[in-house]
Amino acid sequence: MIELSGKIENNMIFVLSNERSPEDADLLHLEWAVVSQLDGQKTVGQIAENLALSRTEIEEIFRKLSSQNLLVLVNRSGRDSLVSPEFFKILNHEMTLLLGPVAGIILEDVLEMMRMNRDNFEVQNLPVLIELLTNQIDDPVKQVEFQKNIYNRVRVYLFK
Amino acid sequence: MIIKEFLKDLTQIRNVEAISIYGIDNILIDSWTLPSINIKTVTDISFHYFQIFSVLDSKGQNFKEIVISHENGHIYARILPDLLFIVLVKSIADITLIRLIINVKITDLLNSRTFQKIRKNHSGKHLNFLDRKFLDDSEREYIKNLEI
Repeated sequence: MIELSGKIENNMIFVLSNERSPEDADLLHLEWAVVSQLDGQKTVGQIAENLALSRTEIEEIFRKLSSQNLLVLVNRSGRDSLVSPEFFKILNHEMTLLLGPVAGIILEDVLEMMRMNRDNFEVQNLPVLIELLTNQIDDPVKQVEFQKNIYNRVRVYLFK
Repeated sequence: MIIKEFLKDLTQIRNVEAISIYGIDNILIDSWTLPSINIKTVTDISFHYFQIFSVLDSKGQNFKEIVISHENGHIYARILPDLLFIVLVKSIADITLIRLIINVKITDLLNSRTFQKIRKNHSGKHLNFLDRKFLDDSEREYIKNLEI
């Protein structure tokens, strides 16, 4: 069991606490909907997606449920779920081969667009990063070449 | 056999529940499902996608993929010149990864001896399965007049 402090992250996984039943709390319809999704497998992000809730809405609901001692955090992002800085060096190298010296700028632009950075980049976002970078390459043949070259590196993170 | 050989990574995505690959003539080339998923359901769904892609093809619409909500998850359908991929996935967040894996593995799959044999057995057939198999003149006219 992990103590909850700070921000509710998309990749956190919660289960219902054994100490208090949701029936004892005064829950709204959407809060019940979230409770019904807690299965120890779905992340906060997946529950938000299933219920079509915004980031703010899901965070508010999880905060309320947590403050009422209804939740137990069973897993959350650790260093294992972050991409190593070494990966970005390889990525930069692969992109430079295809795009030349602007590759580094493009990579930074895409990371900024994703509101992320090299030091705090979560593994689950790698496919989106690769797709956005691929879109920066005009030649379809080079697009495939880039994806093939980088996939084996990405795979190590995704299926470890 | 093709999925195990070329697309094993797809089966390792936690949220993927079923994968089916069809040839252009609605022939099932290979499939993989979790034990809880009925392959018949996937086959029925795939037939609808053949129809959708065929109508789009008739209208000159160059759609390569379609994602539709289905029960508690999503269906990702992707058409390639000789294949239709259908993937049942719980989370839409995994579709980017599914797309990436197909992009990366498809060339090896298409060039494989196994697939070449399959293609040889079904060569010379047109992609537009719906038109060739089922439509009469009035239905062709109806699709022609559809505004998509």
